[in-house]
Amino acid sequence: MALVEIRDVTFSRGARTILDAISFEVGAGELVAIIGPNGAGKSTLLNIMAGALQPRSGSVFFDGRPLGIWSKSDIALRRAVLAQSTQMAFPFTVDETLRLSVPDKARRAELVTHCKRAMAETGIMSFGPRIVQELSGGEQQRVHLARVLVQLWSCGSSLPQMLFLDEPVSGLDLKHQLSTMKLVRSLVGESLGAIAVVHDMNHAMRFATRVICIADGAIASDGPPESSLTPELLENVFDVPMTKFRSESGAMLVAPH
Amino acid sequence: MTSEALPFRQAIRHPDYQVRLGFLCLTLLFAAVCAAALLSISLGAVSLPINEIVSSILGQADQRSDLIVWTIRLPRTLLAGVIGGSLGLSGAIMQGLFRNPLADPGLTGVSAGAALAAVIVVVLGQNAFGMQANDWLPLASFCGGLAVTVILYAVATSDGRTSVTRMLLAGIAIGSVAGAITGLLIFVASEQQLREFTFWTLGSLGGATWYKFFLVGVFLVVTVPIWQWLARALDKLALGETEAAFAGLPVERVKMLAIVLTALLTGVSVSVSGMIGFVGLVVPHVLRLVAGPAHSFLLPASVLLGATLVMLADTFSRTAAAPAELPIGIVTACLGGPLFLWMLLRDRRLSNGLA
Repeated sequence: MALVEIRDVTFSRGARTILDAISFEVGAGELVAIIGPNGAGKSTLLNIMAGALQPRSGSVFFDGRPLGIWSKSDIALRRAVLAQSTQMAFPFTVDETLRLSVPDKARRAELVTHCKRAMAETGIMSFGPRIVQELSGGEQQRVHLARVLVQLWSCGSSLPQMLFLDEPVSGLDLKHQLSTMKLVRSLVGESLGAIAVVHDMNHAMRFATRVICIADGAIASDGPPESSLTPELLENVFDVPMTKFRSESGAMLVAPH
Repeated sequence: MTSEALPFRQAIRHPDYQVRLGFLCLTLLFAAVCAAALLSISLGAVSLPINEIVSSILGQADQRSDLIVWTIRLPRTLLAGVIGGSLGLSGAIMQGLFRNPLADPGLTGVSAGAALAAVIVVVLGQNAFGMQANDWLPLASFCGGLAVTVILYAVATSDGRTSVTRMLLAGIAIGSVAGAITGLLIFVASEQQLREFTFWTLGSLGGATWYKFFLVGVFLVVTVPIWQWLARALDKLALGETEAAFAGLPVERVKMLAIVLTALLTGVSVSVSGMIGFVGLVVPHVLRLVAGPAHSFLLPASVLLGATLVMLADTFSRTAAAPAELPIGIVTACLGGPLFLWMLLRDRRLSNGLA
């Protein structure tokens, strides 16, 4: 069953239409990569699905109910959002920050275990007492990924959950780009679905179960990565000549000519 | 990394120690409040030894000591305490709301707005609705402070991000306008009101009474039940308004509550003691440096340290140039002004380092 569903969502800023009647649904077990050129409306779409932006028209559903009906605290138990960048206001430590998103209604018993696991998975095990503001951009991004994971895990809900990620790897080095994408992919299962805005086609190709390509406010393609990420589509959308090839290790890759 | 190797500033915030050390800090601060209170009661035109004070409070002293303690010193000391607590707390809440350590009711013009409203009532609204002008002061100050906070928030914050520059500039603009109108009112003011002008702009605890103490104290005590909830809310708000909402925080409700509380605490304080600047800036800042920004500690600690600071400042202001009294605002400004400059310098170094 679909966890997130959007129907005919339209969004405009001033006279410019950013999203034009977009519809699709995403369920648990899916890792959907949203790709598209700069300004195509990827982040806008993610924010609308997460409830931070109101669409001009159309509707958004979470677990079958309109997003507007959900209270902020109830939906925080079911979905977490990693923003493109999060600027902390005060010198909180990593330990403190990981607990900030834990909803009031959440069970606190297993919190320590969840924090340890999230830190281990995102490679910030030794960061506990450090001040988040003093970490590098990429390190901060990993701290916030750990924070949203703790938010989801500490809810102790058996109901399926959703993870929204806006460019989760954009500030990360190569090693952590791969480990983060791998982590998200490994978490996705019958109790979790994820939607991620990504810029690297090959991340979409390798880790996503499904790729939605947005161009000019509409869906240019939607399907499993290997069949939908064709050089023709990417050339059309990104205006760069592309080739698609199989690497020595057997993975499909796309690259500009 | 072992916990022993951590510097105090980080060790105190280690999850294993946090609660206990936070409690220890609050206990120490409470002891500081008591010590400052004793000192404040003991010093003055007539010095009273501590044992006299204690026996007077226990009802075993002679009439002279009783008179000094119960009629003169105690109400003033206690008023200084609750005023300092209110100013410290409103500073901490305002900084949490604006997500910025430089937000302070004094710097941002909230106190000026509250004082202006009070001056308007004093000068123009001699009597209204069968009540003396003085009875309207707390309500008027609250409304003045509330109006400024709302304007400030509208000007300085967009898309859930506060621009420090806009916040401070808006504070200057609002402060200037409030100052100009206050100056205009001096033209129509009487001789007596003119003399009170210093009271509003530089503050004084000279007119302390038990009534004033209870008035300010009630508003401070009323906030206690919501501390726990507000503290968690302000912690979350540090992530940014959008992110806090993603984490389940009813952001609009928290903002409303924080705005009303700040205006209430500042407004009522100003209506009783005039503008005492920099307490709301200095107190939370020092506490954050020592024990970190978690509001469940910061809010109660700001009340205690604010109370200590204003009690000491008031003691100094009435003993340094005795029998004359310095306006207490001068004393707090001498402490707070340089610290504010230092914070700006430090901030610049930090942002240069990151850019």
